[in-house]
Amino acid sequence: MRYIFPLITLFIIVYFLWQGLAKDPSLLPSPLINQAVPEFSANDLLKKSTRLRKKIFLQHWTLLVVWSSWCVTCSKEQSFLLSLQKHHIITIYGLNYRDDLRHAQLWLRQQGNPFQKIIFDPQGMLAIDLGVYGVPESYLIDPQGIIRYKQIGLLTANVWTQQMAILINQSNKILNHTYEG
Amino acid sequence: MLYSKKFLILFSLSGILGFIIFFSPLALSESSELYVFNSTQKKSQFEEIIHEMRCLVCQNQNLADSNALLAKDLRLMIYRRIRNGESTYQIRNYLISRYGDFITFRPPFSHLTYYLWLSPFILLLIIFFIFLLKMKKFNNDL
Repeated sequence: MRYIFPLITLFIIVYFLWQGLAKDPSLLPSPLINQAVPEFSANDLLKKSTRLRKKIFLQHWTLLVVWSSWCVTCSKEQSFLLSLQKHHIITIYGLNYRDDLRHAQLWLRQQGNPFQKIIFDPQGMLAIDLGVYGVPESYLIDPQGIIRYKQIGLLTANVWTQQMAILINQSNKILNHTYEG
Repeated sequence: MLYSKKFLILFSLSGILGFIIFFSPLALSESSELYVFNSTQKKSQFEEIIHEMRCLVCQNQNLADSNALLAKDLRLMIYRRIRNGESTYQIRNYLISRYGDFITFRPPFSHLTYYLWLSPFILLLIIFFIFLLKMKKFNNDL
């Protein structure tokens, strides 16, 4: 009987420590979910003369992918992004993070370009505004310019179908419903 | 002569070598990132912020100690904001709005963290009650 209390305490401590073991510390919840994309003004990597602003995210769902030519993991998601683009599933924009212009262009020529527009952010200052802390990262942005989902690390087909596509379908359903009603 | 000339030369050479080795870390320390402020108050403000903000890449280092790219960018951004006259409070709020409470080593008291802040006092209360119970039993036994 006298061991019950210490045992319970032990189990509580073990439970919390155990939970901590299973968590991936690099997966941090972003406070920007359900917040609007911040205002910005940046060059387009593909067309030097154009300035890109926040309004490019309006009117359609967008997948914003943060990438760099020096990022090894980035080339692993490239084939998936290309297939998304090929089937016109969603508008894909890139955010080129802390990169050299020439290296980035060469990388696109070698790996293929799924991006319609690429925000060029050589100093990583816009990335801070978006709460980026590594490459690759992907943001799902709705037609009102609101960030709905953030994927840290590799964007796989699984993440797309199980997280992002579901969000898009849900909001489309709500829209259709209001139109019918 | 007590010491030979050869010994003296060797001795002074080793002294110089020791001097170089001892101070070489200073030569290697980050000199590309010297931030110049127009007041000591702003400099101490900068130091204060980068010491209490976490680097999100190497999570147990603060921004001052980390060499990660993101930490460098964040230091530059904090520097620019201080130069623009922003307060520590404003800068901290901005960083939290972008990276969440996790970025500060001193998380604010909120509905998510009240458990964290209050748990020592709750524990103390529990211990106090156990102590009272034991005392009562002890007195009854007497």
